[in-house]
Amino acid sequence: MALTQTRPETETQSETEVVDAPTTVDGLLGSADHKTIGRAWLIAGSVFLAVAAVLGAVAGLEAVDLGGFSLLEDGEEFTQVWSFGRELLLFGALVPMMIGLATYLVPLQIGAPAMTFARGAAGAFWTWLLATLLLGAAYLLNGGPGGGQTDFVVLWAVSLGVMIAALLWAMTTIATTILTVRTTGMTLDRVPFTTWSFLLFSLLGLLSLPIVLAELVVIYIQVRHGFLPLGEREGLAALMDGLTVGPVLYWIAVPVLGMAVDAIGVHTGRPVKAHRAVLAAIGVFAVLAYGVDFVGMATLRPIDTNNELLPLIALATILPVLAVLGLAGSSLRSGELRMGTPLLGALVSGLLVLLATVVSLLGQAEAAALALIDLGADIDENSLLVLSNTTFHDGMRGLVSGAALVGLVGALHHWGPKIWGRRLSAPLGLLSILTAAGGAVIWAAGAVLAGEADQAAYPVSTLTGGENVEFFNGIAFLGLALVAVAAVVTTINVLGAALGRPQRGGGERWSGMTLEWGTTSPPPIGNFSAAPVVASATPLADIDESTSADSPEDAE
Amino acid sequence: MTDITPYDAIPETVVPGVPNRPRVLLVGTFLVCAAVIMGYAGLLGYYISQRAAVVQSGETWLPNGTVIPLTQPNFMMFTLSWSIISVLWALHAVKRNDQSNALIAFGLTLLFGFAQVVQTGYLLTIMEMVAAESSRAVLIYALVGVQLGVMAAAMGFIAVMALRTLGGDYSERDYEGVLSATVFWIMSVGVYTALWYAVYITK
Repeated sequence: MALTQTRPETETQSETEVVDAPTTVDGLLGSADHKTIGRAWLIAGSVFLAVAAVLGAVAGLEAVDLGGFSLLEDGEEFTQVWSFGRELLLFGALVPMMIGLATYLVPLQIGAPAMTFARGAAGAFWTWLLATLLLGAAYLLNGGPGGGQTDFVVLWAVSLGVMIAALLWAMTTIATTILTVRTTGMTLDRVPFTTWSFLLFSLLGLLSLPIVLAELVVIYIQVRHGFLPLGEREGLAALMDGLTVGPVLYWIAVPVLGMAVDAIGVHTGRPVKAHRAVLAAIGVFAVLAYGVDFVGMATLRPIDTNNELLPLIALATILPVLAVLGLAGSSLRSGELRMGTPLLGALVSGLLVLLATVVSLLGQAEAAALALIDLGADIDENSLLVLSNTTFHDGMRGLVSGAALVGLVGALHHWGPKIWGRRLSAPLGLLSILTAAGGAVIWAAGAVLAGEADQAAYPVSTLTGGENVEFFNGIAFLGLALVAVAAVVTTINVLGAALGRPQRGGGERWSGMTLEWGTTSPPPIGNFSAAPVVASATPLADIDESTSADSPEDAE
Repeated sequence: MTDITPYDAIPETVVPGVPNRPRVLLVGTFLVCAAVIMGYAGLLGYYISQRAAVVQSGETWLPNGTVIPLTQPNFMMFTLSWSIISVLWALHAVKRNDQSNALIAFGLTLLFGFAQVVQTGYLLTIMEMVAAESSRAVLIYALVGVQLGVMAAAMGFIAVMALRTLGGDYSERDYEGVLSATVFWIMSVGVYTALWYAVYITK
């Protein structure tokens, strides 16, 4: 009988692990193993990430006056590049990469041998991949919101709809897995922060993305039956802009917080205390994030119009982020800092989320001032900061996307050894984190300042803002270019880890206390040799304690 | 003597826990239902906001020449109300291992669903609403089409569960699949109810 009395400090590869990896096409196509599917999401998402970020930078360059030089022919082409870049960044890269991490990690963290609806999880990936390729084809064939070919505009709406449906499908499998197949003793208040945040992320997606689908159904039938003439289709991109601003504002930031807290606990050697309080704070953040959308939906008003409830929600959203970071800070103070890319990514991504919640208050300044005026405050209406329908929301998107990208980079460095049996390149990771964080802040600063100078929300054919808008757009482009560099470097790093052979000793287990670190790196099919029984939020620490308690007896 | 397994920190001496698999299909069904409800609510919200804008401008909402009679929509509502009873009857029968009653109830439920689909086809015929002539007509067709899609999915779910019950997969020991199909069916009736009130009754 095999009995483990000591925790492995580092892990090496066994032959079965190599066999387990999808090394052949049929192994990939036919697999319903959550680890294979998770890796596939991550690889495909990282490739699309680079494409999306480069497209974003190209679109950003068009908003800068370069003395007549232009990469794109006209406003219509700008609309195409801009909207393709934004859609791909969200639905083709950041969300799929989150889903990839969730698909890989969730069963391991909750002690399950597999995902529920394993074939469904595989089907979701392949459907999404096919739809994403079709989306690219639609844009290439003059479809998309600014396109001139009706058939391919229809293809754009259909492929984007199928992409979103596939993401919803994947989220259903993730949420069902977390809710139903946790191992014995793994109550919901004991699940790791990452798993908890992926549950909230999936539930928020399931409650938000169907509304985007409904909008796409309307778009489809309007275009299909000729009710949107060519000249009016640019509005479609604006519609998609509104849709991607709303549900995504903090939605993709929820897993960033969970991943950050888990990584901070591991890389300080001190699992974050007050487990339930952190879970609750992340939950409150998710509820408030959904609240922003819900208020907009319930009042049938877009979220960027004046709504007296939104300033209060925006203000309240800061508090749970502060609570999460504050509680994680106790580990930073009392633990032993092992500063590397995972910890740096965790810290920077958390701070970016906090910054996003603070900056979002600016967007509610007008609504708050009008509410105060209604209450009798003496405020000059002409002096209000009006950011509705400006590039302000693009800046917010930059901050949240940057937080998600930095969080993903940190998480991939943290769990990369578990996923691929080898570490990702630390220098490349450092470069990714610094350029992504710096780029996101600069992008946001440029877009917010341009919005303050009345630059209308994209897509626009001409610059419409005040005198400094060119300069601010230049700043935003600089940020977008840095984010593009970070995205390309991340893609190279991920592909290097994914395509390389597992390293001897590359399955670093840090000092993780959650279940995924209690099995091999990468884990075998079935994940665990025996179904683990859990008695706390840090099950491996319990094993350590029982080991040290047993040691004197062993010595005797 | 202690045998060390270097790759596995989970001790095998611990009695393996039985993985909790409480109602995987049921939970998944609830999540899908929530997504469908949100999607349909979004579509209805768009319809209602468009309709309100047109009505406020003093125009009539329905396209010229279009009349929505009440008989067919109300009869469909009546039919689907009965289908809730029949689907609950099927669930009850499966829980009591009464396969013959369960199959009759499943068949009746599918018949009610099929009747609703056919009745909708007839209603659309007598409404004489041409999709290519009005964006409002297209919007109504979208709402009706999505509802029919949800109903078709519910019928497929019921049919599969009926076949599995016939094959002996479900009984008093395990009726989770039938319960899930019942939940989805009731949700699909709810979707029709929203369509019935927002489009057919309010017009």
